[in-house]
Amino acid sequence: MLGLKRNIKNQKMPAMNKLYENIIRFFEKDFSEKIKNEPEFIQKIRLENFEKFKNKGFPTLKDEKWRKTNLNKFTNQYFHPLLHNIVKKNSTDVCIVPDLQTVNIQLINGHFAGEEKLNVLENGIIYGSIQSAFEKYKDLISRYFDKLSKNSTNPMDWLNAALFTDGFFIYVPKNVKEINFQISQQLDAPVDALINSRNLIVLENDAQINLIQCDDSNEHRSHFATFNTEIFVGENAELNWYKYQNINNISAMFSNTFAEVKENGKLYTNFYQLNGKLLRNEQFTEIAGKDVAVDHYGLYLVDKTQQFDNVIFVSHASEGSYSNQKFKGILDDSAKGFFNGQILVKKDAQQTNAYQKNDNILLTDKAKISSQPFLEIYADDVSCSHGSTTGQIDDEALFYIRQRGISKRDAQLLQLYAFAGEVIDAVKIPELIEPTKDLVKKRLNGELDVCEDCILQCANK
Amino acid sequence: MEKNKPLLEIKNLHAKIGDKEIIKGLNLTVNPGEVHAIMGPNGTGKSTLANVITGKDGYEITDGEILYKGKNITDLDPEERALEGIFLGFQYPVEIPGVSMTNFMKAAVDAQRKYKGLDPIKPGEFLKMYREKQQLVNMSDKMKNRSVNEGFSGGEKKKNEIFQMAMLEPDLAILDETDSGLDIDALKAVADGVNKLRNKDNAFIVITHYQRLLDHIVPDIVHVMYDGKIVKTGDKNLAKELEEKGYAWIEEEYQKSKNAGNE
Repeated sequence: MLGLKRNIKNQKMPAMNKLYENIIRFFEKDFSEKIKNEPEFIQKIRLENFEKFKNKGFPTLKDEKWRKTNLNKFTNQYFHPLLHNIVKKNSTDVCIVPDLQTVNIQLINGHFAGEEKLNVLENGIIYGSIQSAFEKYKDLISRYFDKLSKNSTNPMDWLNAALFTDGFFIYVPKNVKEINFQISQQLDAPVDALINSRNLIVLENDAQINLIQCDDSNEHRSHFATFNTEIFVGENAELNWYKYQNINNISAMFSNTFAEVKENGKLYTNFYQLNGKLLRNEQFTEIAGKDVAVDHYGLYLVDKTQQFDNVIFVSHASEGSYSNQKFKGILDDSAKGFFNGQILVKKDAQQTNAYQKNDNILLTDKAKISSQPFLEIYADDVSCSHGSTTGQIDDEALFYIRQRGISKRDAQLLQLYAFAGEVIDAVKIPELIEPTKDLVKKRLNGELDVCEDCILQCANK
Repeated sequence: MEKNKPLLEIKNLHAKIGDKEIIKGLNLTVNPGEVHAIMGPNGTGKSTLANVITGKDGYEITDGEILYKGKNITDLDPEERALEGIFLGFQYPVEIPGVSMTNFMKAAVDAQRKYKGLDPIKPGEFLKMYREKQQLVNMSDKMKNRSVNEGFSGGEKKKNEIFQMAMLEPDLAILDETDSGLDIDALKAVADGVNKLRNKDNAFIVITHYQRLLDHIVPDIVHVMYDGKIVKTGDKNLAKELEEKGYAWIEEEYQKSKNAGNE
């Protein structure tokens, strides 16, 4: 006994589990060989992050922001790391939002799936595979890559940085405006798979684009996916990002986004977590210039034994800016949700307007939400608010609606849909409004199937 | 429906919330074409009666029955009773944020049509009907895009109840203190709406605390409710008598008869 005690090191040991051990073995044996042809700065980033991950392991219930999110179900499972894009789809398999002209990007198992790995449009936009961009646009990429995520303390970010295989890269030159991108992200592995993809979006000054993203999956395989995105919004530039997540009930997806917005820039996100066993979105937004406007909207519709998390951090480092976080959730059955929202107003960020609101409806006694709103202010001339509510369906309103002849189920749907309205009403692209409404209605009605009814009407489905 | 058959027949009704008995052996018969007023002091069970007839959760019927068009309805859901033609004008209309008035009414009208085996109403037809019924209660067209009752004034909320009644054309309408909190103009608008909707086939139960609404909606029969029962029934003059003398004498009379019964 005494001997054993002496062997215990002071340093905390990473939690051992199947997935961790596999990842360590995989990186040290196979992966380090594969990345030898990558630019040195990328290799360095990978190695540093791998060391961090190796020392810490996966987050556990003891970590502050993971107390409500148990990864054991996944970390005790074997996932095959997918090095190559083993599913080939032909280039006609693209997605369309009806009536909307778009540039289409397809990621299959984290790999850019277009025939041309890099594309340059007439207006100067570059888009394509980030792996390919490392070689061809090395200088451009090195100015941005990992600049925002490098200080992350989240092991999922280390894992992603160490092991990502591909992802998309979008570069929008100065003054290029009103371009719509559709991103179809498909988890479609033939085996249970570990998928890590890494994306980079750069908007030069006065640029403006919309992203419409749909995450979906096949029905029968379990995926463990990390999807990290870094976003740079230049001065007076604007990015609007809509995302609809609808993956199967045995997959987990961690979508972490790091954004920096410069003077007079705008960043707007409107995300729908519709289906999946575990969906966790983390957003880190740094307001790095005056008169910036940031909106983060989210709607999570959770049932069965699903869990959807949102961790949002908006940092005001500069004066005169506005930010708004609005997240709404409906939780049914034994579903769980976790919301952690933070506003940080730094000393120099005077005349900041920052708001945060998280509202939840629990439909059963077993459904659980943990909501943690935080506000940290070091400037004295600011207007900030934050708040969180959790409630049930209003019985008085339910009776009122039923008394007009509307069935209990429809009365409930009417109320739930109305509750979700605040997020849906924030959709700014007219062509997206009806598809978004339909998707939410279908989900509330229990009619939404995985891989079906993706808001992007994908061909070959 | 046969002409002389009652629309509503309540026999020896007893109902309680939790352990507390609120309705204690109530009898009431309402025939088509009649307007009944139910008056009485606060806390005597008037609103409970309205809730029990319309099927609100939380009430237990321990004895008696409620026959509507000859059928016992106590096992029906609130929406089934509504679809059968029973309407409640709420004392406190509920705000439903995010649900617009038009969407709400369209859903209600379509539910009713579906029940009758009809297709959903055509949008043009619906809007025409909507406009007509709005005019009936002198309601502003601006209200239709607003969420149900949200930010409505007290008067607007009550007018909105009458408007919904006009849209749904019930056979039996129960108006629970529709007059409370109304200024004279709103009161007139509400009464006008009811009077225009009165016909030989439908019936109204007007629950009110004061006589003033009954100056505008003239009742055929006036009941006084006290201690969970109807203790006195008369014609419209009974309402006037109550207005002059208050409820104290009813109370005295009731206690006297109760004591006499006990002796």
